[in-house]
Amino acid sequence: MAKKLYLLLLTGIALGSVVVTWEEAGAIPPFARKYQTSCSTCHVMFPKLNAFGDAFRLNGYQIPVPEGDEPYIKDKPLQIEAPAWKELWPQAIWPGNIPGMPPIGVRFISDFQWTQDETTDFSTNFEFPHEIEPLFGGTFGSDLGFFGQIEFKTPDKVALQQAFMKFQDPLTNLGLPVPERAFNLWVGKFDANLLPSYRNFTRVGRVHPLWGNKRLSDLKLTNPATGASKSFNSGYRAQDFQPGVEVNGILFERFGYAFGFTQGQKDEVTDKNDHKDFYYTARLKLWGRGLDGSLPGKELTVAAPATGGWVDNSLEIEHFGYFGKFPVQVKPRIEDEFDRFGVALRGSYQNLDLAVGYVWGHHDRPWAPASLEGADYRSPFVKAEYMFLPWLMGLLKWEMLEIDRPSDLVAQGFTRGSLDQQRWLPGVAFLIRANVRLVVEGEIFSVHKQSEQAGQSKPHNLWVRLDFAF
Amino acid sequence: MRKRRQDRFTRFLALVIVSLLLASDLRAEGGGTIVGTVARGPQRLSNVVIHIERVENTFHPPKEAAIMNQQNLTYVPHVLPILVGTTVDFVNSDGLLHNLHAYMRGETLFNIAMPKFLKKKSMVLQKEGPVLLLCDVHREMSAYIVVLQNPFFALTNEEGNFTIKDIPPGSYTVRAWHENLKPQSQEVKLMEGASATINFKLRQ
Repeated sequence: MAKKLYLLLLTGIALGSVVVTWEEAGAIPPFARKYQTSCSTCHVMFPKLNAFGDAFRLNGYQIPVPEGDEPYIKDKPLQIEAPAWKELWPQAIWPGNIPGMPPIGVRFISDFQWTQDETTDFSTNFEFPHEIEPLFGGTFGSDLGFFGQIEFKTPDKVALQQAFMKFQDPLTNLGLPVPERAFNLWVGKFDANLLPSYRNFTRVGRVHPLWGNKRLSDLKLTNPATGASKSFNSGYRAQDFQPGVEVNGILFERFGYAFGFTQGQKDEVTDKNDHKDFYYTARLKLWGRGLDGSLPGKELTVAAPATGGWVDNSLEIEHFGYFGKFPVQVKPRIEDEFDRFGVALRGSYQNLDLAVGYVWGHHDRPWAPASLEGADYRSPFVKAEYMFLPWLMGLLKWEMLEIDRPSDLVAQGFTRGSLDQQRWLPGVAFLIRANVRLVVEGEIFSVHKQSEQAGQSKPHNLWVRLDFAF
Repeated sequence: MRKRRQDRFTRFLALVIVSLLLASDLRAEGGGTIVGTVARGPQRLSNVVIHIERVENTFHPPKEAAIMNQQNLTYVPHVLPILVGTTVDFVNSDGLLHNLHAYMRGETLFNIAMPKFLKKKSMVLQKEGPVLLLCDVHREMSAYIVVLQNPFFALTNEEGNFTIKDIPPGSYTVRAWHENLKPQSQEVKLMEGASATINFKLRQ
């Protein structure tokens, strides 16, 4: 009883802090400021993009309309050189512009965490704030976009999450016969967006997907008799932003493709090796708004509807392949060659957004040098989101992750340790303002092998996240 | 007697020639009118040249020169439509050095210095088409002189509206030209004294 009262009290404090802070969050992030439009023009519930927002993202952060997005820009850019100079290219520098206002925004994320520990007691944690993220994004003219995100967690933990440029239609602009939006180039550190329906820009909950979030190098096999352990030395994590180059485009309004090379993740700055990871993605969207923003038989409108801006009755099929090498030992050099494949089906109908998918892959020698056995990786998932009201969304996810353990190490007594998990993630998300969000999300494990093998309780979690941006 | 007849004939001939010249030079009295608007998405567009593509006749340029002014580090006006053969007075109203670099289809048409003491330079533009004006000293400055075959043209105002008056009856192609957007054409048949409305929606 006392525990329940304590929990109620903490939840009350968390909600109280929302009431105190939301009044201060009345401003708008860079894109909203540039177009002087609502967050809901592009977001179902930030950061989850609606179909229009996704088309905006794919269009180099420009409103995807045939007439060009200039008429919609309210914060007029500063023209560095007269646009007419482009007529003289290559004898002149191609003209561009810079945003009129500094294109900067800030996002504050605070988390309250309730965790059941190994003894079934619970602990709580105020992560106020969990992180602060300066964001920047905009365009340098009609064919060059940029985006960046810096993450401050604690005074000694600052990370450049992403910073990249989008060269939109570079070949078309040079006069080559390439259809508009069919060939774009992204350069920098960015998210490869391997399965768009289950990535950052479609994630409302606090918890990242298992297939993207679990760093396999967290996996250790321990010998209970001796206490010795062996490590899974291959550290690829699909969730992380990576330095790279990506070519992408949209064909026939509804087919999207991308392929790119990334640095790999041993060391993102100086990973000087003879190999860069490679990936490809493909997506096909049937019905609804096209990937290019077009609406069949309708003239495109930019203004966000008062309600129902999330409705996009459509079916989408997505696929990716990722091929990498990870140096599991430097001297003598041993590399783990690995791959990942994924497929997802996403259906949206009225207020319901449903996705089902499966990610699988193989590592050829992740335990080297202790073992040269390979390991298979499997992670199915299901996600359902329902908009009860324009400010109220229900969430439910189910996810599973399995990865093989090497039989030779298990035979040697290294039996304890596994990342195999199965969990349910129910949640509810509220928009207190268009730019202020509260998410309550549970993380309930039906399988958590790591804890079970250690004779512990499953570490169920409850999160309350307050997130606002301006 | 014979001399008087010769004089009369000469006067008659002169009258005929002058009348023909005047007829070809003047817009059609009681001619038709084309009105309309130009937009880009929700935005009405100014500085769009609306003109009839070709009218079979000979047109003489006006005696008065058109003016293109370099003023406050901008060209004023930004877009200047003229009839081919029109004299343009280029004026430097700024107390500093400009130059006048004119391009047509990517090639230099002329390139002259406009020092602060040179207040006016006159040029006759004889080739049809848009002439891009830049200033190599101030790269933010640009303007266009659109040289046209006939005098039936207009420039859209701040509300994106235009009116072309006194057009002889006939069938024409009306074209909209903007410096950054794809040009568009529409066909129109104009009866004597009639008015037609044409609206353009330009895109990138």
